[in-house]
Amino acid sequence: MERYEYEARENFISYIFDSVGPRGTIRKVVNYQPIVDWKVNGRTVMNLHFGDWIEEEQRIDDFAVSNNKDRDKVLATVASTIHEFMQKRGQYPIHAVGATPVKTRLYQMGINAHRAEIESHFLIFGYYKDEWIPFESGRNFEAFLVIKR
Amino acid sequence: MDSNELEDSLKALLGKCEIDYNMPDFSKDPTFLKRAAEASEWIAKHGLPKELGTLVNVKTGQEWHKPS
Repeated sequence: MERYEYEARENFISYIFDSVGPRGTIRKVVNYQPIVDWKVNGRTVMNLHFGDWIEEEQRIDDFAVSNNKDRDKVLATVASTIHEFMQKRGQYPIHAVGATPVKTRLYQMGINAHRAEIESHFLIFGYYKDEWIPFESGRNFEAFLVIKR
Repeated sequence: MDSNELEDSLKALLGKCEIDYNMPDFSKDPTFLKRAAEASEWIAKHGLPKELGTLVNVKTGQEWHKPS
């Protein structure tokens, strides 16, 4: 599985890597934010989100569609940070929803592409038709929840 | 999957990671804070998989029940 090298902030909450392709070098930022209002079985739930770093404006753009022809490599890198995060910070449940339905679909494609490897270490749930169910290919999920096996 | 295969697949999942001691604190970024707040609202409405256990609102101490 091809992926980018990435850097972690020393607390392993945030990660950056550079996507390199026809549209140049685009810095990506992955962040795990605690969802402070809820605990499940006594554990804080973390929200996984990522976007492009806009250097000129010093902000994250999570609506950007990069078209840098490296979608799978980017998604594989984000998946690696999930593992890195859990190894370093503990086995938190991780919640993920894209900034748009298209982005959520992108998450789904990433899970699908590496499903066997991911599922050997994690349990993945998806929200589908008003309920949480184990992840299945071919369904359009609205959100995802990942926990360590 | 035996333990060797599991270890191999773990290595395959992890990328090359270095620590950047000068990385900005992105946990204070408005976009990430906003998305976490939205996720909180989303969980209030939809809950989490029941397999994870009891979901509790930290502020009220009450267990989550699906809104009617």
